[in-house]
Amino acid sequence: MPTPAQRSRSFSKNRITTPGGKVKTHFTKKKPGMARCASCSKPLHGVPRGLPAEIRKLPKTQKRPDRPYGGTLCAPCTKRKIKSKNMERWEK
Amino acid sequence: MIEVGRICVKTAGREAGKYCVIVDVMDDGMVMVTGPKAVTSVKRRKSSIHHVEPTPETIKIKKNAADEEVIAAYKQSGLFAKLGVKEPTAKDIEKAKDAERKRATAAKTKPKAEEKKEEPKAEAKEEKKAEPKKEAAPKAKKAEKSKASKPKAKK
Repeated sequence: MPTPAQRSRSFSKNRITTPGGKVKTHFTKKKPGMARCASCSKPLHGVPRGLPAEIRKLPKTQKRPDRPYGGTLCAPCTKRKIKSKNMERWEK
Repeated sequence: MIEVGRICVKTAGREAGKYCVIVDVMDDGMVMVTGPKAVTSVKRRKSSIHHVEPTPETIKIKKNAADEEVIAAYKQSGLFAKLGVKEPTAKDIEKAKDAERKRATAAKTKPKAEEKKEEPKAEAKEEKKAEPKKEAAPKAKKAEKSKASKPKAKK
């Protein structure tokens, strides 16, 4: 297996003419997959998709919804979880 | 279960998982709710019944009771310990009040039309800044090349 930097066949390619008139190909890396809910594996809203370096530059409020379990569970799953926790708490 | 004085858990939004008290029940499935803000950081706001999960606990308050009355009712029923919430000091209550006042004044002074105008301008400026850089860079390179090539021809 070649090193990750040399695995360029699967990259998307841009043909670019340089100022000197040469034609060169620029390789752009693949984006990672969409963030998904940990319990129902549906794609999450409000979580950006991009290379880690791109996401690191974003402010914290744009990385995940401001909510408990935000960025790991989807909204209906958090609702279910909070409801079940509430039930458990008052049964004791 | 849903009545004035019922203690609930919010299940949606940024206040999800936090305790609140129902202060008023409205007609169309809506409910007026407070933490109060100094206690559980849930501010006084309208909320749907579907976004609120009731607990078996209640406190005795009037309809549309103020936050201070709600805090007093919390003390009487000893709910601070039960819910695992810190009892607010006088400073916390003042802070929450000040924040609400600031928000109210800011909403009055800032009309929505101004905010909309500001956004497109900022974007346009960025585009203008970005474009000349791209154009300038290749020109500079060409200039260098032409300088470099001329002396060779003279030789």
